[in-house]
Amino acid sequence: MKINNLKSVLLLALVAFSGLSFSQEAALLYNLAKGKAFVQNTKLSNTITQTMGPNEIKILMDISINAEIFVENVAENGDITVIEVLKDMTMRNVAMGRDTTLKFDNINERSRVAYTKEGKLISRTVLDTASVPGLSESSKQNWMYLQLPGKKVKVGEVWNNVSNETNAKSSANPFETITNSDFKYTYAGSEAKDGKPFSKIEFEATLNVEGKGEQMGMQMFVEGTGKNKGFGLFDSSSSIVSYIEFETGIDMSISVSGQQNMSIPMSQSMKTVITLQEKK
Amino acid sequence: MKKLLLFTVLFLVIAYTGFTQVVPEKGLSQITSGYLKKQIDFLASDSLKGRNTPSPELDIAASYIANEFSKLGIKKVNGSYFQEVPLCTKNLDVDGCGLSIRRGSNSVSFKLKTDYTPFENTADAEISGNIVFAGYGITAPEYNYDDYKDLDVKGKIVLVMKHEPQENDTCDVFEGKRDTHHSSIESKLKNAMSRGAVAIMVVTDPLNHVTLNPQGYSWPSLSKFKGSITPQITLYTQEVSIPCIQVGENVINFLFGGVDSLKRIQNNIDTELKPFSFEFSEVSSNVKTKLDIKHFTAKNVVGIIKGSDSKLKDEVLVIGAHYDHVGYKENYKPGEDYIFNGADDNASGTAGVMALAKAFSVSKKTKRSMLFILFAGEEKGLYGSEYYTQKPLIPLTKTVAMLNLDMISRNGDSLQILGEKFNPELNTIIKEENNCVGLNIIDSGNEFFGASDHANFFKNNISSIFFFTGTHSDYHTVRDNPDKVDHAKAEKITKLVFRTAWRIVNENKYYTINKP
Repeated sequence: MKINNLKSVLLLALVAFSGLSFSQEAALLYNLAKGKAFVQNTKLSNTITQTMGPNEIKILMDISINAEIFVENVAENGDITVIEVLKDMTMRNVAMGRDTTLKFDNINERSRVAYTKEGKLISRTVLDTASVPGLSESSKQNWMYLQLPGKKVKVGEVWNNVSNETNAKSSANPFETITNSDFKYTYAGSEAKDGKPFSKIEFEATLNVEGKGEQMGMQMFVEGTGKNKGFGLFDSSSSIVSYIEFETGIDMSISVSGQQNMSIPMSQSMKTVITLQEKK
Repeated sequence: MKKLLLFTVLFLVIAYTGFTQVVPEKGLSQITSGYLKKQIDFLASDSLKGRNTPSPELDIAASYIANEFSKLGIKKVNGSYFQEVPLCTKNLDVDGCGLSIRRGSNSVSFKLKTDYTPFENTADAEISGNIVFAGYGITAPEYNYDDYKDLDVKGKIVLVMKHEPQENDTCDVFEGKRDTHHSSIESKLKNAMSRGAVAIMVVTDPLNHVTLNPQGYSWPSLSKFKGSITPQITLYTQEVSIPCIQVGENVINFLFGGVDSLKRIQNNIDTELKPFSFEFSEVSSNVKTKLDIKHFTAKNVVGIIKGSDSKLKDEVLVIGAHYDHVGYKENYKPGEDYIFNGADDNASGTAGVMALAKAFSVSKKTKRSMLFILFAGEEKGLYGSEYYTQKPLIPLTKTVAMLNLDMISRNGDSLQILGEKFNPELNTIIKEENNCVGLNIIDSGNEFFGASDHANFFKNNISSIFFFTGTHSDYHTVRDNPDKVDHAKAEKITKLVFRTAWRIVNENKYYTINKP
């Protein structure tokens, strides 16, 4: 009896231990199958503070973007090509006593985007002409926002991603900018959300942005620094990060040279929540 | 019987003119498309190179307007047609700045730009003193809140947080998520100065913001692009200030032992809405902010027609417009149009004011006086009108109203009357007079109410109306040329302003304002 009891205890301990070891290690990579489809919603609350002389102007902005993603191809090396379809967007802007809401329905603009299996952006091609100039650029959001390690990791394991992204001038952005970001990811273990287990990935990032542009004969310059802090929940059953929540703070200055010269310091505090669900 | 009839008719005529202030046709007839065209064609010509503030070309425009006033018999004000507006550029003398903080025997020097950055309104000064933490640096009796309650900061350096309590709470006592004026750096600076503080350090409130490092690089000398950026022109004021700097995370760590400690204090303030202010024990600091200031001037052009009524002649109606624009492109290709001529913005309004001066100069004497002002520096930040309201040539207490003409010659037959909601009685006069003019007055939404010179008068509680025909695709481009101007429309608007002004300067009334 005593031996049986001991066996039971050992068995239970083994089960517990294996369960523990299971939750302390997770394979984090985007392992998607061709033909899968996903629905993404991005909600962004942004507070922009502009300093104009002694005055501060505060702009509150709430943006909601709905998109659909179709996995077009998965290469042998795991690279994933998706078609992202921007479906609709709502922007609410509260500034200088005005409360304005812009709603864009049935946008249906497509982009073909290629990622590595870790989620690193390889290329992006806009397939449709924007119905509203600048809409695609302004709503552009890397679907695979988090870079995964592409392998099994243990709790507390850290991986980094340093990137230099160049954004060309566009109708929505008069600057050609270089954004340097340095992301530090940490696997924080398993976490349940709505009764479902997820692998939690915490992340922090430092951001540096600088850029030049020209408009109406005036040279324009932008420089700034920022921070990102948040977490994502990786769903191993569908192999996607299905929930991301993070805060961003960016302080920057926009300067205009020439006769209309001015410098406008500006700070942004943003909270972003991205949800992604498989489309059945 | 005939005499009785004659007297009756005469009485009715007198009564009619007395009550309705019949607008003199002689004056109205002076406002013509031809006159407006002549002025606009000159002011918006390439030879004036976009009338940048300050520039030799702007001075040519000023002399031209003054010369016209002289020809019309418009009088000088205090012996001159000009009011000099002091302007300057301010840059930070990087080598002359410093921040060190000492706790006991431990003294740390902090780095400019990464650890601290002076705000634009900092003084050119060096200060030493003990440091006092004063919460958000707010005294707001209307919200029963005072970070300085029982706090002595005289001769000391205050450290305050940005923004205001419960910043992200939609129900907070400080007007929810909308910032009140207490959250501005200017308010915190003035409050600290009024209590005798000798310098102010500002930290970002850490509970609501991720980045705590000094915000913004408004100083060209601190910019990565410092060779390409020049300091912007601002109004030069001799306002006394104190060193005013933003400090970052390293300073927070040194003073509080970590950001979490400051977060706890902020949380206490936000929760209890009571001050948690204190003086740091054995902590002192030396703050040095040095400025490189270059001085310039531009001219407001002024002219007056004196009133005739023994009581009302000391009161004045200001009719104004800005005559500056935004200059020219410094980088352009051969053959490319590079001059921002500013025909609509605001040669049109300037011409309108000149036509009004002409119209009133031939009309019979008015009861109140009329002051015509063409402002410089509007495009740089309403500096001409800001300076005028700081140093008025006629006391603001004697200024009954201000009518501003800015961009009055585009967009079909529509006209926006900005400020109509804030100046109900003036709006009524305009609407009544428009019955004789027939412009299509459309709802302005008042989006641009703060965007022109009348705003500085309104800030000083003077009834102010902004006549505006709206923006357009040529706004602030090289395409805002004289050939796009609708002179007939500018004439109609100027006539409407004449009729409105005639009523204001001849009726013994004062106009209420509703502040938004």
